[in-house]
Amino acid sequence: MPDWKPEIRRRLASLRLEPTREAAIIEELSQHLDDCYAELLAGGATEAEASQQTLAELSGSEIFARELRRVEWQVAPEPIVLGTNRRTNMIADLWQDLRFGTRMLLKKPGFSLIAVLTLSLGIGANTAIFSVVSALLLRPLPYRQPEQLVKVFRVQPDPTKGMLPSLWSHPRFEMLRDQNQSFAAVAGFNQSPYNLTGTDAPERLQMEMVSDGYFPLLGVNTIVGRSFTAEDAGTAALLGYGLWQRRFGGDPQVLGKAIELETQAFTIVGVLPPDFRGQSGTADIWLPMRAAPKFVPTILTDPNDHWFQVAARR
Amino acid sequence: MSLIDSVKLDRELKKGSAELLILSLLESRQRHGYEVRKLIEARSDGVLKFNAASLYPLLYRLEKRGWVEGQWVEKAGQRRRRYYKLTRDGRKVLAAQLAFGVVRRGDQPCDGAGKCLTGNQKSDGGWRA
Repeated sequence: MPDWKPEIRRRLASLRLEPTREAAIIEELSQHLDDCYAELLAGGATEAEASQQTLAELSGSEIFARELRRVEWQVAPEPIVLGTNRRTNMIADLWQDLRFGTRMLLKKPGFSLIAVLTLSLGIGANTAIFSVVSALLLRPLPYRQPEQLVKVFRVQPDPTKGMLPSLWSHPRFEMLRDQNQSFAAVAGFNQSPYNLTGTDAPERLQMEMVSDGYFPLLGVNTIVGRSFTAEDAGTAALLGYGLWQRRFGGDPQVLGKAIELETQAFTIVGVLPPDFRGQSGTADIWLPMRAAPKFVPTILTDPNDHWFQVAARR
Repeated sequence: MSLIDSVKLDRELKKGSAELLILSLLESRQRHGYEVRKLIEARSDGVLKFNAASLYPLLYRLEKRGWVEGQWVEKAGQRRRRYYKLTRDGRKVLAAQLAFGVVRRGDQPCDGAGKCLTGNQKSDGGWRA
C-alpha cells in the first residue's frame, strides 16, 4: 500500500495548521485513499492505475486547500472585550465583564492563585507602610499646636554610651517646673497597667497618671464633665472614651460615680474625647499624680525614685 | 448575471445541497467519510461524485457549525476511523429542510449493485439530488 501521507502533507503545507489538527486530517484522508486504492485493486486495476486514480482523489488541491482554509481558519465570534465603548447598558456590561473575569480566573486556577497572593502581599505591605506614614507624617497629633510640644529628659552619664536620657522623680520635676525659664509649660506623665476592681468583671486597664497642667499643656478638653483641678484631693479619675462606652454604655450620668483601681476608690469627674488615648496611644483611664501615694506612699517625696516622663510646650 | 456569478451560484447551490445530503445520510447512524462518499455516489447513480478533496472540507465545515460530530473509533483488529454522527442541532437543520422539501429522507436503502457500502440494503430509491 503506497504511503499517501507525504502527498497529503504537501497539499496541506500552505495552511499552516496546528500540528495535531494536521496529523488528524492526514490520517483521515490517508485512510480514505487506502480504501479507494484497495477498492480499485479489487476491481481489477493494476497498482499503477490504482495509485494514479487514488491520487486523483486529491485533485483540485488548490480548491481543497482553499476550502479547508475557510473551515479551519474561520473567524471566531468576536470575543467580549473588556472596556469597549459600548454604552448601551453599563450595568449589563459590568455584569458581563464580571462573568468573563470569573470564567477566566476559574479557567486558570494556578494563575488566579498567584495573582491573588501577589495582590494580597502588595495590599498588605502597602497598608502597613501607609499606616506608619499616616501616623507619623500625615495625621497631626490630636493636640493643640503639636509642633510646639517636646519631651524633656534628664541626662545621666553612662560609662559606655556617654549620656543617657533618663526619667524624672517628682521632687526633681517640681524643681524643673518651678525654675523653668525655657518652656511655657511642663507636665509629667506615666502609664502603667492597673486592675479595675470592685466589679463582677475585673479588667486590666492602662492607667496614665499625670501632673497638674497635663491636659492644658496638650490642649485636650473633656467631652463630659471637667478635667483635674488643683483642688482635687487625689481621688478624681477621668475616663477614656472607649472605657466610658464599654463599662458605662456612654452614660452622661457617669459623673460622680465611683470606680476602683487596685481596690482604691476614685470618683469619675469627666470623660476624654475618642481620639485621645494618652502619650502611648493605649490609655483607658487617667489619675492625677497626687493619687500616686495611694499605691506607693513615698513616690512623690523620694528624689531618687525616677518614674515618669515630662512633656513641655515651647 | 455574469458567467463568473453563475459559476459561483452553481457552486454554492451544490455545496448547500451537498451539506444537506450528508446530514440526511448521517441521520440514521454514524458513518465514516469514505462510506459517505460511496453512498452519495451510489444514491445519485453516479451523478454526484465527491472526491476526498471536496468531501472532507464539507464534513469539517458541518463539524465546525456543530451539525455533525466527528469521533475517532477504534475497533479490534482494525485501524481507527473517524466516524461522523448527527448532532441535535444538525437534526433540527435537517428536519427544517425536510419540512420545506429541500431534501428527502436519506436513510433509504441504496441500490443493490454493490455501489453502496452499507451491504445488506435493498434498492428502492434512495436520495436523489
